[in-house]
This record gives sequence, C-alpha cells and structure tokens, in this order.
Amino acid sequence: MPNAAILCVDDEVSILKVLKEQLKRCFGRQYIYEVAQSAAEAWVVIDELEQEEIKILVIVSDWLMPHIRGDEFLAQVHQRFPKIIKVMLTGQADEAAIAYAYQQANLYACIHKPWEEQELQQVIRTALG
Amino acid sequence: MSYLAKFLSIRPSRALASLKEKQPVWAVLVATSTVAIICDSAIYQLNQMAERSNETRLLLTQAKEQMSRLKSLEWESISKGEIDDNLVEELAENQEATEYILGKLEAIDRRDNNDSLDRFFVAYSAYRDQVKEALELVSQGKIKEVLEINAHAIDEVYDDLYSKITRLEDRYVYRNQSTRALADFGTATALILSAITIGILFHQFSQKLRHKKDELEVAFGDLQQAQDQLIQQEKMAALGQLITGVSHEINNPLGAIKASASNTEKALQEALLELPLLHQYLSPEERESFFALITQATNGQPLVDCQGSRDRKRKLVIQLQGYDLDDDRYIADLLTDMGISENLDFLSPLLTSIHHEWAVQLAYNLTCSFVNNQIILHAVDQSSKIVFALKNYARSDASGNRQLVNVNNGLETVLKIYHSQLKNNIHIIRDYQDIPDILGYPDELIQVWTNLIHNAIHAMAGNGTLTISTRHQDHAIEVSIADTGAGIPADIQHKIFDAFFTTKPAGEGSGLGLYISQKILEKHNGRMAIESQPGRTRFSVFLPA
Ligand SMILES: Nc1ncnc2c1ncn2[C@@H]1O[C@H](COP(=O)(O)OP(=O)(O)OP(=O)(O)O)[C@@H](O)[C@H]1O
Ligand SMILES: [Mg+2]
Repeated sequence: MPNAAILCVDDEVSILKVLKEQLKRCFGRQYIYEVAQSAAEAWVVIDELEQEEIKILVIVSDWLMPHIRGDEFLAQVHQRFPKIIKVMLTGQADEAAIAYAYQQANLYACIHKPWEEQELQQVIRTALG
Repeated sequence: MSYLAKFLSIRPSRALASLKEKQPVWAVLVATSTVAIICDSAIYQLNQMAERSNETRLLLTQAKEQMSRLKSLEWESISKGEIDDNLVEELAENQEATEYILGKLEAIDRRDNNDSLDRFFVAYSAYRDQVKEALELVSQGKIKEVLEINAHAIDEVYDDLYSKITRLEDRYVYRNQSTRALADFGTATALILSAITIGILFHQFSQKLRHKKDELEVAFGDLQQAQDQLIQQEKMAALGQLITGVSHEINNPLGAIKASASNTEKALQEALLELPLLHQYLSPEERESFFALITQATNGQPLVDCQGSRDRKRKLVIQLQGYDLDDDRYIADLLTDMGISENLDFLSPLLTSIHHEWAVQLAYNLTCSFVNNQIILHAVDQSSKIVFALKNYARSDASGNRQLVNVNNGLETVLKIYHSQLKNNIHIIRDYQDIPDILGYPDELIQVWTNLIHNAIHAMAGNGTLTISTRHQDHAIEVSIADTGAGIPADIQHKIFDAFFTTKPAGEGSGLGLYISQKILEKHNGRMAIESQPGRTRFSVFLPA
C-alpha cells in the first residue's frame, strides 16, 4: 500500500480526470492520486489523507478557481506543509499571481494548459527526486 | 470698401488689412465718431453759411426794391419840381427803411469781412450824393438844372447801382446754392461713412464670431477625438479582460482534449498488448464477469464530481475488503474511474481470480477511451461556445452604420465571455422577454453590457446573484442588470459616471467603464438609471426600440 499521494485541484472535472490518468499511467501504483474541485475540497482531502497517515508529496493546482485562486491556496498550503511540492497548472494566470505563488508558496513550477504530458511528468519526477 | 479706400486714399487691401488686423473695435468706433462729429460740425457750418447768404440775398432783394421805390419817389419829386410835405415824409420813411436794410447789410459785411458789398456801398453813396444834390436843386427851385444836369447822371448812377445790386444778388443766390450743395454732399458723405463703419464693424464682429466658431469647432473635434480614444482604450481594456477570459476558456478544453487523446492512445496500446492473454488468464466464468464490467463501464456516468466519486470509492473499498485483496484501494480507484458504484456481486468471479488486477486494468484501458471521448466532446462544445461568443463580440460594424441588434443575444455573448468568472458561486437569473431588435452599434452595446456585468461581478466579489432582465414597453426596451453586492454609497452615486472615477485599486479599474457606457447610450438616444442599496444594486438601461 502506497503511503504517499499526489493531489490535483481544478474546478473542471474533465481536467482532473485526464490529469489523474496521466499521472497514474506514469507513476503507477507508487502513489495514491486524489483530486479536488476547489481549495475547500482540497483541504478536506488533505485532512483525510493526514488521518490515514498518507503523506502528500505534490499538489498540482489550477489558478482560476472558485473563491480562492490557486496562488492563494498554494500559499496557504505552504504555511501548513512547507515540504509539499507545489505546481501550478493553469490556462491563464496573470504575471502578478505567478510571482506571488513563487514567493509565498515556494512554487516549484508553473505549467500552462494545454500542457505537454512529458513536461508534467518531468516536473513531478524531478521534484520527487 | 472702395468708397472707404477713396476716402482714406489707401490701397484697399492695405486699408482692409490694417482695419482687420490692427484696429480693435474701440479704435474704429473712436475714429468714426470723431469723423462723424467733424462731418456734423462742417455740415452745420455749411448750413449756417447757406442760411447767411440766403439772408444777405433777401436783404439785397429788399434793398433793390426799396431802392427802386425810393428812386421813383425821388423822380416824382424831381419831375414835379417841388417837394411837398407828403413827399418829404414818404421820402424820409423810405430812406429810413433803406438805411435800415443797408445797415443790416453793412453788419453782415463787417461780420463776413467780404468786400463784395464794398462796391455796392460806394455806388450807393455816389447815387445818394447825386440824388441829394438834385433834391437840393429842386428845393432851390432850379428844376431846369436838375433836369438837364442831374437827371441823366442820376439815371446813370442808379443803373450802375441797380446792376451792382442785381449782380450781388445773383452771386448770393449762387453762393447759397453751392453751399447747400456742399452741405448735401457732406450729409451724403457722412451717411456713406457711417454705412461703411457699420459694415466694417459688422465685418469685424462676424470675423471674430467666425474665428470663435472655428476655435470651438477645433476644440470640439479634439474632444470628440479624445472621447473616441477613450472609447478605444476602454475597448482595448475590455479586450484585455476578454482575452483573459478567453484564454482560460479555450486553454482548459484544449488541455483536456490533448490529454484525453494521448490517454486513449496509451490505454488502447496497452489493451491491445494484453487482449490476447484474455483467454489464457481468465476462465469463462471470469470472462463473463469481465464483460459485465465492460458493459457497466460503458453505461456508467463517468463525469461525476469529486466529492461523489470519493464517497463511491469509500463504499467500494468497504465492499472490496470482503475479497481480501492487498490492493483494494487501487482497484476501488480504477472501478470508480470506470463509473462503477453499485453492488460488486457481479464482479466476484473476477475479483477472486488471481489475475483480478490485470483484468480490471484491461477493462479500464478498454473502456477509458469511452470516457475520454466524452471529455473531448464536452471540451469541443465548450470551446465552440466561446468561439461563437467571440465571433459575436468581434463582429464590429466596420461601416459605422447602425444595424439591427438583438440585445438578448448580446447579453448572452457577454455572459459566455465572463463564464469563467461567473461560475464562481455567482448565480445567474436570466429574465429575458421577447424584445424587438433595435437599431444600433452592436459592438458598442456589448461594451455597455460588458461594463455593467463586469462591475456587478466585481461588486459581488465572486458570490451572489446576478439578475439580467429585458423588457419591452412604450417604444423602448429596458435592460436591467442587478447584483447583490455591497452597493454604491449615496455620496458617490453622482460621481460614478465621471470619467476616471473609480473605487478600485490602481491598475484594476480605469473609472471609464460607466462614463463610456453613458456616452455610448447617448449615441443611441438611450439613458441609464441606477438604484442602489447595500445588497441590491440595479443598473437599468433604456433604449428606443
Ligand atoms: N454594480 C456596482 N456596485 C457597486 N459599485 C459600483 C457598481 N458599478 C459601479 N460601481 C462603482 O462605480 C465606480 C465607477 O465604475 P466604472 O465602471 O466607471 O469604473 P471602474 O469599474 O472603477 O473601472 P473600469 O470599468 O475601467 O474597470 C466603480 O469604481 C464602483 O465604485
Ligand atoms: Mg467598470
């Protein structure tokens, strides 16, 4: 049973679906893959995983989402879990938001939609060392 | 103008130029009033002179008559050869009258200081001397001598005097006439001069007015240009917002399509490799269970929200625990992704097989193209919607002519563009009536809806209800956009239509949105009304239908 997880956050279910499939196909059964449609839902998942003593290694988050935008969410995550690797995957984000995320969330990378599968895999693979 | 030129004896162009450019109105006024005063006094003097020469002429005529009467009296006495008392009296009377007239003439002569009368006086005194002499001779009774010597001389002197008087009279008549003519000429000149002055002044005024008008026209043109520029700027800003929205709306489905396509490819590749092993790995019963799984997966509802699928997965994990699998979580995940949620009894042959993981994975790979295709279709729908909205937005009237605009469609276009921001817990109520198309500029109206909707979304900070309604009444349509945001404080309500008035942080709002919208509505003979209190703000736009 893997005890490490990758969490994807995006307000579009279809993005989450394809993203998860890509990650699963690349990293197989090494990790648990979780998805959430908003920052609030992501926190629920984070808490659940914490209870199950599953460590979140990477969070891939969209930027333009309901209520809390990706940069803000990642910054909040960073305050509680500085070790989690944060990646932003976005169709559109303004420069200021990206800069904010790099600074406040120690953003690891920002990938733009439509993304290259290899780029995503590469980023996560190197991030996980 | 040529009259003036003659009078001023300056070349017309120069006279005009100097008057037009250098002389201010007051100078022209002062100059012309001076000229008018001078003219007036000259005319007055001339009239005075004419009056006087007329007076002199009258006196001369009287003198002439008086003289001939006197002469006939004197002749009477001379021819009678005696002077009776009656005659003496009459003579004295006549003489007195004559002297009086002559006195007057003399006074005029002294005043005018002209010597024209001198000769007359000389002739008169010569005549008087002759007559006096003759009368003396008569009184002495020397009639004969009188008749012989004096009668002839008297006649001569009298004739001389008479002709002199007549000539003088003629001269005064002539002088009177010429003075009058001069005065008339003066009056005519003054009239012409004043007409010219009025003309010049009028010309100057109209010139000034024309200048002012030209200046105003230039200023107005500048303003209009500035306004057009503002509209253009605002359009660019709206375009910026639009591009932001569009790139999100387009890149998301593109990302989904791209990933789905490659996922399908990989899944099928894997499946094709594994498929030949099916008969080898699974018993007929297990195969049956396998195909049941595939059937269920293709009928399932793959795109459910995450919360729902997590719940389903949890239930599946509980069910799977009964099968004592070491990877129940992974299997549950695969099954959830395939849309399997119900009772897993039909799967028990498969799950109890040693190849259960291989089989579920193969089933997943075989069916995931179904899910991926759904994702692709959905994404294509999404992007064609936004492309349609864009097309509507970009369909500008290059001709600059009004065209028939469907306002409901325009509102929908804007809502589509703002889709990404609107789904953030903003509830939209569309309350469209069947309204007639109106004549207008479609892209500019879209700009108005964009501004109002953008403001409303901003006011609600991503949470609230946006109500858009359209109405048709009394040859007008009403579009109202209401939000449940913070509202506009009463003390700034009168300012929000001002250019550059904004309460948004620098860089976020230009404060031009409502200003430009107002201008666009004016262009359409429309107007806007606001109603605002905390929790409910309504912008109503009225356009003639
Ligand atoms: N629906 C609304 N609710 C509350 N306040 C509003 C609303 N609409 C406009 N306002 C107020 O009116 C001001 C002027 O609006 P306007 O659209 O002219 O400029 P802006 O929105 O600030 O800037 P821009 O439109 O250029 O982005 C806003 O800053 C805001 O304070
Ligand atoms: Mg605005």
